[in-house]
Amino acid sequence: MSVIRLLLFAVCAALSAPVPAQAPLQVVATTSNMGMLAHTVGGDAVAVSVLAPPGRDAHHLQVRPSMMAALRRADLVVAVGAELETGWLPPAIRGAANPRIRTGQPGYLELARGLDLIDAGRPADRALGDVHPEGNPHFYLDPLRMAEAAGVLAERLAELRPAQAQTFRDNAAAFAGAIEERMPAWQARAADAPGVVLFHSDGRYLADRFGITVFGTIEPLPGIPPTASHLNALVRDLAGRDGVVIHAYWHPAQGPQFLARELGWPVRVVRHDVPLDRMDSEGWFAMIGTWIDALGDGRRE
Amino acid sequence: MYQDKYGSSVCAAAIGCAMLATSATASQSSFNPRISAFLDGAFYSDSVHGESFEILERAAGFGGGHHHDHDHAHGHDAFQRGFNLRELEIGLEAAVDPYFDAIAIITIDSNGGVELEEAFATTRALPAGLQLKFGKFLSDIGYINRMDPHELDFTDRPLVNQMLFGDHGLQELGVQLSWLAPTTTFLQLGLEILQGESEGFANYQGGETLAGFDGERVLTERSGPRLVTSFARWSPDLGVDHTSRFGMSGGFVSQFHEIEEHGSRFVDADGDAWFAGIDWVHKYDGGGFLGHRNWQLQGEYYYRVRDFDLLVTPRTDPTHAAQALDGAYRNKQDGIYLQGVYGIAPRWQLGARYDGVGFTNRVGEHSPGASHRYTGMASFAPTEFSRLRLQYAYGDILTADVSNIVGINETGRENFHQFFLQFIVGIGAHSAHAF
Repeated sequence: MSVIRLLLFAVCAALSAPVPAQAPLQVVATTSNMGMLAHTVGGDAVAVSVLAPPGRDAHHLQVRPSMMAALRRADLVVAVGAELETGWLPPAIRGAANPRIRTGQPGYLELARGLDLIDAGRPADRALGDVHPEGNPHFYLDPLRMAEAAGVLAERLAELRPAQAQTFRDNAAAFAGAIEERMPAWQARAADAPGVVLFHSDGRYLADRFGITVFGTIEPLPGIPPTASHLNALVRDLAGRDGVVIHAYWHPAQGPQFLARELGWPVRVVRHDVPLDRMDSEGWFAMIGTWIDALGDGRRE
Repeated sequence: MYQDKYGSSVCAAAIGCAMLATSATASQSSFNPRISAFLDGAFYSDSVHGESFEILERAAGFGGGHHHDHDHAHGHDAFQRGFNLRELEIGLEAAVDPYFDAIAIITIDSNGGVELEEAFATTRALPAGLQLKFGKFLSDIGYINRMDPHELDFTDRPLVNQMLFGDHGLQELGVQLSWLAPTTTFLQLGLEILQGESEGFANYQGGETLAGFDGERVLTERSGPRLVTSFARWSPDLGVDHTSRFGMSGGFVSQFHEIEEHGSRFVDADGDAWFAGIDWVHKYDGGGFLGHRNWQLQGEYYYRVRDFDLLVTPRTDPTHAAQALDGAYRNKQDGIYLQGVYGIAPRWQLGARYDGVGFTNRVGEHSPGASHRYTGMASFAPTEFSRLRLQYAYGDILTADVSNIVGINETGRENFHQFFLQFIVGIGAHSAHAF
């Protein structure tokens, strides 16, 4: 009898004990830019891990067992979306056997889906290259769309952790405020940048945001490596103009260097994702700053 | 999760996407399943007047027997000299409801032969890392068994997979339960309960009367499921550039039959069998442009044991009453492959493979030696949707005129050179390969 009473007491005590601080939400971000958003908006309420190593082309990753192990324990997946991760995220999620992060569940979020994307609704025709009919997925280089995405993420985190909803919204608002604060300076630095040739149309959002012309891409079509005839056509079309050639670390340098040499332009190699040890808003602002400086380098001295 | 595998290729209408803009579902503007099609063809030639596949079928201890009951002279993967269209593979997949995904893969060969390769459903909502799969599917034992032909790094499957498990690998009807451990390193366990009718490992003729010329003979009848397999995989965390996965698998079939018809008699094996195997794959992805400098090494080894009674029935009196037990046997056989692929330039791969079967090759009271195959490959993939592959293979096959499952009449080594120029193109929904 006394044993039962003791047990009952223990159970009641356990149930009525003050709720300890909740364990952080396990957020798995596909890229470090998404990880930066999760970290910035989620603050201490989230523990963030990243699937795609920074410095890699997220179009061309392969699924790995370690991704499944990370996703198995996730409460929320934050993906770019618009088919950027379509070659590896779906099998990783399928292999993770985690019902919380299946599509349609609150634990699966593609941030591109809430945004107005460039080139959305173009024909789903692979004769046009590796096209994304949902739109250009590289919105993570656009400050204003990232501010918007932070708001979407805050709402999703609020749904998963209602008690901290206000914190998430405040964090997203602070991030948007910090961007707004920096915009005039960025705009000033980008003013009069004459234009850019990108390797892939990943810098489009940033260039469009600051009114910088994208003359073309080193790739003849999305996902198709450069050809001599395409590069010669670019040289012919752009001769006499000012500009800069920008590419990512993972792009081969020969095409950009050829074009830059022929046109007398500089080449700039820039990051597309924040390093894991700077996965916070400051790290991301610094990355945007290097892009704006690189775009500005197209001005003739 | 299949719906966003193929994502928004059907979402050309911006309106469809916009309507879903605030929901978490993958974009889809209609309820059509995502459809993909792979066209897989090859130009083929060899040094033995097109006989290389027949030579493989006479590999001592592995060939012959189970094909005697088929009309066709050679197996599924045989090519004829000249142009071949191996298959058109059509895949359909969609989420059924919040609880299930479904997938069907149908192949059509150039003669119009249609085969149902896979048709199964998987659960989406089981808790605790559990997942259930049911229907017809390629077993998840090992690494290569569950791959469709267009996913392979070489034109053909490894000999060990074809000779121990069947031309398609272990492809069965049944149920699979898998469990992913909630650990920081990847650990997965799986159990499959299968009907047991794959020609290589679990060939089942049914217990029904086998008609002879004007008589009958009977084999043991056993209801399905007859085959149980299990697998375990573990992948340590090696950082961002390297991935290694180690696996082991095993299986037991409670009934297998092998029937052979000879000039003067019928020879039938009636028994059970088990196998055990290990597999390993290591991938290096250094982030090079379009696969440049990436590499992959993999290998698998399997050991198969068949315990059976040999039943002999004279053709002159092919009745159950005349069926005589000709002894009990234990056949033990094995096989291995090792292969490597290297991204020599963006979009270009070179590969090499060694295949061998019969290092252990106990067949009845005989122990013939091993057969070997050496393969080299170069491939060019303009995009992830198209691939051109040049493959050369040298076969060093110990052949036999197999008289039956226990009798070997070695005829010596036969060699061949094979040349394949293969093309694979994929259209439709974007495919995403599993690990």
